[in-house]
Amino acid sequence: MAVPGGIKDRRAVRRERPAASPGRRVARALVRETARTAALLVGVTLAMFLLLARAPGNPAAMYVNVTDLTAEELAAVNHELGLDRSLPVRYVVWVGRMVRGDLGHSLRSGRPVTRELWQTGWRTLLLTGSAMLLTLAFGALTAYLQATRRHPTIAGALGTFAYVISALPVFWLGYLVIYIFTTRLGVFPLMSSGEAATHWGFFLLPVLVLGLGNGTLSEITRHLRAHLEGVLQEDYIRTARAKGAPLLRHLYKDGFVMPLSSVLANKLPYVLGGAIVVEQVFNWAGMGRLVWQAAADRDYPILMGVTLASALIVRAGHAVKEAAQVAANPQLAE
Amino acid sequence: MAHYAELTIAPTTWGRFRAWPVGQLFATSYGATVAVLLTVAYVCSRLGWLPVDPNAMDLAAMNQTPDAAHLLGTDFVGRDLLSRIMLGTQAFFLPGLLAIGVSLVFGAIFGVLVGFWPERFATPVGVLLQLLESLPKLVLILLVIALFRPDIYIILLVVGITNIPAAAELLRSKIAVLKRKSYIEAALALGVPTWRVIGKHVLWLHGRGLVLIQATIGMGEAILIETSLSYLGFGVQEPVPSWGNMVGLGKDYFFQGDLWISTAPALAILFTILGFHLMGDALLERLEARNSA
Repeated sequence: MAVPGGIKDRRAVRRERPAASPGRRVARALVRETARTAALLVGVTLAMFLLLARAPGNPAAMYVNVTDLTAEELAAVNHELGLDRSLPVRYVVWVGRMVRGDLGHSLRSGRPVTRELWQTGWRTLLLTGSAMLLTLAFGALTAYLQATRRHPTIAGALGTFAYVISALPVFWLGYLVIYIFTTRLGVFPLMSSGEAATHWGFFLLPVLVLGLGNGTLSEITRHLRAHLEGVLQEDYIRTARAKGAPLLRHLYKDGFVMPLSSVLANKLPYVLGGAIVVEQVFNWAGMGRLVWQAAADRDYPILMGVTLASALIVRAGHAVKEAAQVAANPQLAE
Repeated sequence: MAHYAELTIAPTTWGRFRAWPVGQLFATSYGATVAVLLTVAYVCSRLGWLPVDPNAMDLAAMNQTPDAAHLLGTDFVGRDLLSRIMLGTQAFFLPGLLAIGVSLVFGAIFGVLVGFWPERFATPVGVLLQLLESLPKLVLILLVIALFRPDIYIILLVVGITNIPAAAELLRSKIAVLKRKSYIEAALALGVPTWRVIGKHVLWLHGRGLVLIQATIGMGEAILIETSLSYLGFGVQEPVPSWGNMVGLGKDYFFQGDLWISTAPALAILFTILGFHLMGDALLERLEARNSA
């Protein structure tokens, strides 16, 4: 056994190295996540490419309207796009185009896919991000009340609410909210009218529906509660309580930052998927509507673009998780 | 001593069941009831034992709330909602079982590989599973739908594939605990073949509960995806009923105040998924909390 500070054990010496500053740890974690994302995107694009190659129809349709072309013109287009070459070469060319920002043109509107994505993506990000925050806030509050057992009635009611609303289909929940707020109360204008687009209810209701009704609320609450109950039994929490220190200041890192960031990264795909349905219910002109329309029209370029964009959003969630966890816990930094 | 003798007698199945906390007992029995009702509804719809012909329109009895003739009321062309909800179980019942089967089989393979030989398989399998997790399920499914226009079985096969990471992770964390137990170590040291240790001690004696849990979670998920897709118009198409497209078709009447047409299938979804969620959580707490302690 190495005596710390005595015999030169390399592992012991390494452990004594002072921890890097939080800023540097986060920067390193982000670099690591970016590299991982790049590696995963290679896999995602490869899978997409193979799916597309197996799909019926001509891939040249990604870039030109193939129906008005003669056979020779089609051959020329195929040659120019490299479609007459082998699959690995075509994959490299395809990825090369993507890296330069050329995702092709929408078959429906004829506009570049990147422009369509920019126009709709921010709305979806806004909806998904706000809904995710609402989910996390509700889950954290309920779990905290349940774990500390201070207000059992409120905690029980919130827990039951979480179970019921997680099992409700989100589209019906959307109908109910629209019905109550527009038809019944008349607080908001009907969602399809032009005036609604600028009304703040147009933003609030979808976020409320997606945030509470995305189906992950009960699972998140249960997970956070189990985690919090574990942390609350730790010795340092008991010490903090004994000396009368504010509990949350000692609890927030291990009790909230760590599990909430994990949940954010793991559940973001679900909320993003739920956004497709909620955008449909509320006529919200985001990426979900775009991909819905594209799936109905077989608009391959748009579908590829949305797939890529959603993979990026999911990976961004993981980057946020890594950064938050490394900032909260120096032991996780390599 | 009488007390001592009593303690050594293994409790009966019923006795063990009675020792469950009330909440877990209620959750599990409710979930089991839902599963039985679903199966009954599915078998009846297959055999054609429906209260009313689900496609018979009755324009004299449109948008009716529940009464004696139509136990759950009628839709906007007077079709019996109870019969259509029962018929709607066909949209997800067998495909959902397929999804569960796929996620269980491949989840077991990957979970065992990573759990038993982490140094060899953790990286390749981990990358594969992370790849699956980096896309929202609904986006992946819409992509497959647009490319191949598959039927509901293939769609739920894709759902099953996307559930593999969750199943594999559940088993992997289980094996990580089991591997440190001395009886596993002893069995391996005595020369019991690894495949027998995996098959008997890991999968059979400790994995049975996980199968039930994963099946419960998987069915809830399958129903959620199927109804969402049918609502969006990509799953089961009218006039074939699905709980999802039934909610969607009642939309216009809903906003006019005839809430029931959309609400009846929505309640069917609510009670079913609630049952599977409650049962899954109770089983997870019951079977897993005890073993990992």
